[in-house]
Amino acid sequence: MSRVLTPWSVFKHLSWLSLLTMLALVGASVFAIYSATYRGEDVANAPFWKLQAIWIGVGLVSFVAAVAIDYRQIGKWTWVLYSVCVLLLLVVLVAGTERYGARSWLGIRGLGIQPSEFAKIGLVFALAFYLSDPERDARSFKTLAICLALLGGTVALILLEPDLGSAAVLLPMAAAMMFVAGIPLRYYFGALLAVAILGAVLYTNLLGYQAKSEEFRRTSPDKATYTQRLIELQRQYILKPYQWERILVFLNPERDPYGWGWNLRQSQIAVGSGGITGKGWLQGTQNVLGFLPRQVAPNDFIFSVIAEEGGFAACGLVLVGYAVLLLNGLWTALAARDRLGRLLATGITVVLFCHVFVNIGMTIGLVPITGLPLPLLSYGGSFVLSTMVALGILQNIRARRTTY
Amino acid sequence: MRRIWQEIFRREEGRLMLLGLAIVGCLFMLATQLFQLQVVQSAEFGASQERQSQRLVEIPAVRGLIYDRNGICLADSRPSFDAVIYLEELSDEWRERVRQEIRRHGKRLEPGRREQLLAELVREKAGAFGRLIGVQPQLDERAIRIHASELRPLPLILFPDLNETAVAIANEHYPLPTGMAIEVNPVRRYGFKSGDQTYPLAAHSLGYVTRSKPTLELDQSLPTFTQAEVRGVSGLEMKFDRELRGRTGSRTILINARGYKERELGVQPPQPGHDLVLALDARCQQAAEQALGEHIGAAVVIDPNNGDVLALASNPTFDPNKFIPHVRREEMDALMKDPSKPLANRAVSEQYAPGSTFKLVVALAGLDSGKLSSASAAFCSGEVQVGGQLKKCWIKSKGGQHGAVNLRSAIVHSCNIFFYEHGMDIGMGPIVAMAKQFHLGERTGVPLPREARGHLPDLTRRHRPAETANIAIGQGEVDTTPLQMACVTAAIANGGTVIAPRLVKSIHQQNRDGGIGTAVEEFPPRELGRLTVRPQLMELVRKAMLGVVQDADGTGKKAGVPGVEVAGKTGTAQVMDTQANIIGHRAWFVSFAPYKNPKYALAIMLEDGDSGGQTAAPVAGKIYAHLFGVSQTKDTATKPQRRPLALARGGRH
Repeated sequence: MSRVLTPWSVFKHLSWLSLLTMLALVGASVFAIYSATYRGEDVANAPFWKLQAIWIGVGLVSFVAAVAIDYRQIGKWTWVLYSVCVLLLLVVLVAGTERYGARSWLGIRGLGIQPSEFAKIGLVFALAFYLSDPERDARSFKTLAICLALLGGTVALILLEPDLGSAAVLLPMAAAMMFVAGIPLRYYFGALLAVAILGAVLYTNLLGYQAKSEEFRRTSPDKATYTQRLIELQRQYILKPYQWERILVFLNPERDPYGWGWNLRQSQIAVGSGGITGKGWLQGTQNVLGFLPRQVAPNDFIFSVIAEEGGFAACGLVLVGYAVLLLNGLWTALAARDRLGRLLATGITVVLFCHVFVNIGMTIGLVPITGLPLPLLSYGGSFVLSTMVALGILQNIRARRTTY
Repeated sequence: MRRIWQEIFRREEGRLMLLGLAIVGCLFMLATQLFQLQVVQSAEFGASQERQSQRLVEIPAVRGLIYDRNGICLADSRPSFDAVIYLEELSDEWRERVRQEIRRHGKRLEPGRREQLLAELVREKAGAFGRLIGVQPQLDERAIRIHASELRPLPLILFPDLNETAVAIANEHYPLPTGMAIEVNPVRRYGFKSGDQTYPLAAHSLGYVTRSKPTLELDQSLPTFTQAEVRGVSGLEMKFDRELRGRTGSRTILINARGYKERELGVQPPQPGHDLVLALDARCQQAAEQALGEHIGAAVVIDPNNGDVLALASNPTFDPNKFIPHVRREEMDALMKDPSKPLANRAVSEQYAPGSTFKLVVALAGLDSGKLSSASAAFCSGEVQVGGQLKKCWIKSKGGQHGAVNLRSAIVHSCNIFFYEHGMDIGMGPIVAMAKQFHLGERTGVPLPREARGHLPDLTRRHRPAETANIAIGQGEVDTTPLQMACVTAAIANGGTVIAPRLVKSIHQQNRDGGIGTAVEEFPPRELGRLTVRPQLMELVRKAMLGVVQDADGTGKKAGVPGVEVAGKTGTAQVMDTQANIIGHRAWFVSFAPYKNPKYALAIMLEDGDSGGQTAAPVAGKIYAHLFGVSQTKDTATKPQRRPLALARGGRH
């Protein structure tokens, strides 16, 4: 069978199930964000939900484009794409706006973009394109080295912002792509060793921090002094005090000397109190009352809001939705007609999965709290846009699996 | 096996499948944990959410009123206008100050500085308002801090109980500064209006209330803010606290993470307390209190037909209004240290040797057992040898003797010799048995705290004749309360029916339109039993009692009032210290009137009297004069009626 799909006829070959799932999730996100920023009938709601709707509009256009243009055509522009992404990452370090302690935004408030989101797509293309070259010997050390260089460069730039979460999510993505591409297992053992060493270093660091913080806690008269002394510590350790605390709280939820475990605790209360059927839209109180802090409710903790108001029923639907998208991604990878498509689909699926797992996991106490948003549901223009583009590329690969 | 794994790892599809398995496994983990939280542990999390975001704020109920038998109000509530501040409503201004402070210093604030800023803000507002009404605010920073951190939904009282001028000024300067308000709170008021004077009546019976501080109680199902709670701590206010207090209502409020009220979830309205209608007659009570004058003692007036306690007076008394809104330590200490013990209810809670008034019981015991008759006689030479002890008649100290006495003259002249001799003849057993028929030695069950039991000789022990002789004149191992003696008198007055004193007649629903509402509980008169003494024998004693007052040489003639046949019995008990030296006298007078169809039975006991006839009988006389309206003193009490104030309940929230 040999046929060529025009940019128009490709839409006849979409996976309607995953398209509908995507639309359902972004649709739900507008309602969820409305509720997450809701403060009561007589208080004007923050415009986040409107902004999200606009970004979804932009995302839909980009989605159409990402489906229409043959991914192999895009593949030919890989290095341009990657260079632009790296360039943006450099620009943001110089000209970016600082928000929540990270210089990760370009442009004006509300309409700004996060270059790190697009860097994910850039890196997926770079790795997929490089590894899918038929002349590439996956078993050679050179291949590995170049892959690691591509990965390391991007990760380093994102870490400089610093945006630990976005940087960290790139590691499993690259690892999965290289694994599928056939990088020998022995390198993975090497990677495991590296991870183990890093882990050991982090662990000793953590113990040191913990001892110090315990000592401060005992000797500080109040929370303010305690916090101040902890903040002064930050240069001595690899992670920042709040990051250590997140890990410590995750390991021991009871540990909460001065409210560091607040978000986790409140998120769990929100999720748990939702019960089976939830309290109904706009009926949740955790965010309205500020127990779930207003800054995080619409983005990092949107799932808690959904869980409180929609209960286990809604959470189950959301999980099924992500399962549909992820399984469709995996199936696309399996069915892709070429290696480029297969690796692209793998990378996209794994990034998506990492976001879903880490975000939901942190709201329910399975994973330490990290600032990773939930794909399609969390408030955030760049992330909605990049996720929809990524899903468009998946559809693109899927639709063209049987064509030349 | 190894081959299969190798095969899987060798092929791209195989590796993808492994990846897929890992992903599906992780999604399954998420679903499991969600199930755990939302289905298995849901109730737990729901409860902790309620606990952290919901609070109960109590709404106190309107306390019931206390009326006398004629519907005259003795205890009600007056409105107290308090200038209060709601710290919640200061949050914007407070935040602004904190922001300014941070801007000024460019650094984070020192610990505790935020709270200090709030206290400053409150003090400024209070100061400005205080200058307006001309009152210096008394605020301590610690109190403000505690209120801010623990009692935020409750108003903080800045100026309690403003006077009319201050309220008027505040009303003119409406609206008040943000967060401030004038609130109306009920304050207990005790008073009986007579003429143009109002003074507290029956303080010992009514008792008083105290107001506790508002608190945050955490050991409830939901953390609960209790408002200042008014609680009866003495007298009827204490005994009927539950009925008077009603049921506290509550508002359920939703608070946000910073502890500020977000909105109200529901209201459980309070149920107003019930009113008490007493058997007490305000005018009779007033007469009794006035008759006691400067004496230290008690006066009890009972209706012998049904046991209604018409007056229950103890002197010196106190002003319970001074304990309102709450008992101040200095005030209480002064009263506690006062040697005249103003807080003691001498009519009920203290017991005294009844002296010669007990001869009535002895005489009835003799008549009932047949050891005494109207013909019984004795010769009083002023003294007699009893068991090797020389015992005297009181007449001896006046330099005389009674000579030949019979039962009647022994009662009329209160001859001790007659009762020494016949008392020993009757014996301890019958005397105590008769006292028990009168229910002496046990509590009358009047609903007042700390009622004294009184005391009767212990029959399990053998008594020496001298002890029996002593008991026969009401000294030694016998003690009674004035209320008990009033009951004894009532039983003799009505011909032998022993009745329990009734202080509270009924409990009524509160009536918002004023007046007394429908009864929810009535306390009928309670008959305790009938004396076994035959009526004609009883009549001998009653006749002798009439002689005590009406005879020209009767010991109690000072109790007489013109136109009324008054019967009575005097009593003077010696008070001895540990060395058996006489250090004072208890003057008693028990009495009933009119002789035919008695309407009043009373008992007077004075701790500082010379003798029953000289000191106590005149007190009874004054009370009778008032009750029968025959006195020269002008009767001012033309049934004064005081309507209870309709209180506007706290207008806010």
